[in-house]
Amino acid sequence: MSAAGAAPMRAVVSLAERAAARSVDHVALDGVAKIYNPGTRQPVEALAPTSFTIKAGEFVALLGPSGCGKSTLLMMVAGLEAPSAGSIAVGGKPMTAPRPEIGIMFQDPTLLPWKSAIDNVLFAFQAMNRPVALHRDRAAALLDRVGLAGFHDRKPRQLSGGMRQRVAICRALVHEPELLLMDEPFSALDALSRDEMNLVLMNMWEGRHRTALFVTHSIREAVYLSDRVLVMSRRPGRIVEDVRIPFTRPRDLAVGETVAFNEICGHLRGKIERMHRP
Amino acid sequence: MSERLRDLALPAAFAAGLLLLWQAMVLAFHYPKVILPAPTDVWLALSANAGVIWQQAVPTLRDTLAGFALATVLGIALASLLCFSRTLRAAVYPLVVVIQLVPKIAWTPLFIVWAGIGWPSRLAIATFIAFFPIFIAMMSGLDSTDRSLVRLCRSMTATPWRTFWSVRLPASTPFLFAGLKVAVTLAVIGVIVAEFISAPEGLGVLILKSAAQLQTDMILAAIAVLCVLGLACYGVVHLGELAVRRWHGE
Repeated sequence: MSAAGAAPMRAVVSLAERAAARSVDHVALDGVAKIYNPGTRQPVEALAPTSFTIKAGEFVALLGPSGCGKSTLLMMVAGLEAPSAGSIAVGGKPMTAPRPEIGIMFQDPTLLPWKSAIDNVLFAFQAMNRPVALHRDRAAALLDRVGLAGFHDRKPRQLSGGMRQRVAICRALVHEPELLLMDEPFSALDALSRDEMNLVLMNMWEGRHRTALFVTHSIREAVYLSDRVLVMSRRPGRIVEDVRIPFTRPRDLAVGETVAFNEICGHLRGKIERMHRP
Repeated sequence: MSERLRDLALPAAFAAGLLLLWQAMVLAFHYPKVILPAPTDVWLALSANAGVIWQQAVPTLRDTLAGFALATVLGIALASLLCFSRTLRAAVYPLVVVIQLVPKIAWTPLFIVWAGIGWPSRLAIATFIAFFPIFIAMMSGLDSTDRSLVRLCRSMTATPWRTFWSVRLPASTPFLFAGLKVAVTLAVIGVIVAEFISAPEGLGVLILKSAAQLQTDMILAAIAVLCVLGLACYGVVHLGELAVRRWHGE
């Protein structure tokens, strides 16, 4: 990667940044639960009362099987859904509606088909009623950085699935959000593109540590990307394990070949399997 | 033969074949010209009266385009309005759907009663007939906007107006054009019907007058010109649709 030369200096800066930030809870969930169709004959408890905090600058993965309520949890942190019980605070303020200081990536790239790649990135500003022209250079630089140089003017239909998700990363980051929320953003990609996207994401994230909450059902992805992995049980979801991931940053894909990495993955897999035993 | 050539050549050859058959039948069975003139007779009537026919075609085309334009504005405006208010939508939409089930031609005499025999009634009739397909298409376009795009807007704190203007409206344009294609042909029908009922000029008037004088070749000549006008209008809308599809990256 071209960023390798700058890596040591960045690591120093980011370590200092993170040490200072560690003391602050950026995201705090207190007894948050979600019940769909409450008061009807078939209420669905999607999420059992859940509490945890995320420090500023921390990358946390939410790992769990499909339908365990992890996406629901992320949508509530984003302010897109209201919890049925409990409270969520982001940056010390209760979360009641979406906020501009949050960047979000969904399972699908959700690009506007009539806009070019760069205009899709800039749509973040358009949506917030902020001037778009001022940020064109930054959007272009971001697209270059995720490997889309020369594709700025392509429409989404002319891009591959991986390329579209790269555009979506840029759109989530272009307004420099303090909190980045990602809902299984790479689950629709093949294994190779997925590894590549993990690298791209790490490269982007390690440049400037934002707080990140990443929902996934891939154990390796969770361990590779995160500082902490929260394991969720089946519906109604609750957090059954909180594992710290010790690997130094910046990480490359080779960390996935180490014994320690595979031991952690094995431990998490064991947890999930035990949980699923009837 | 390339596919494109085949798609053009086959229908053209079929149409030419039908014209030849028509010509041959008239020559073989000697139908009276009043009953069925030969294609060559129609062509002669057309070239001999080109000036008159063109003169009559202008008001018809003008009223068609005006009615179509007005219907487009009204259809988009009402659909957009209903997109913003659930209450208004619940009150208005079913009624509009019911009204559009009634044969709209049946309403035309009412417009004459209300708007008189001048151009306002012709414009109103054309607008009325062309309005419904545009409105319905626009409604379904706005309704079928990808929910995930709307959620994206919400996550980025977009106002409802911003979401409408930047996402719902552009997302519904392919639907809109499907409605516009239907509407532009209906607008021609509306104008002709209005001219049949009451008008000082126009191709509809020319057809009625020719019928009264048993000039069947003139009727067919006027219909031929109407076909060309209708096709031209449809073609322009179709080009617009292609442009929109290209804009959507297809």
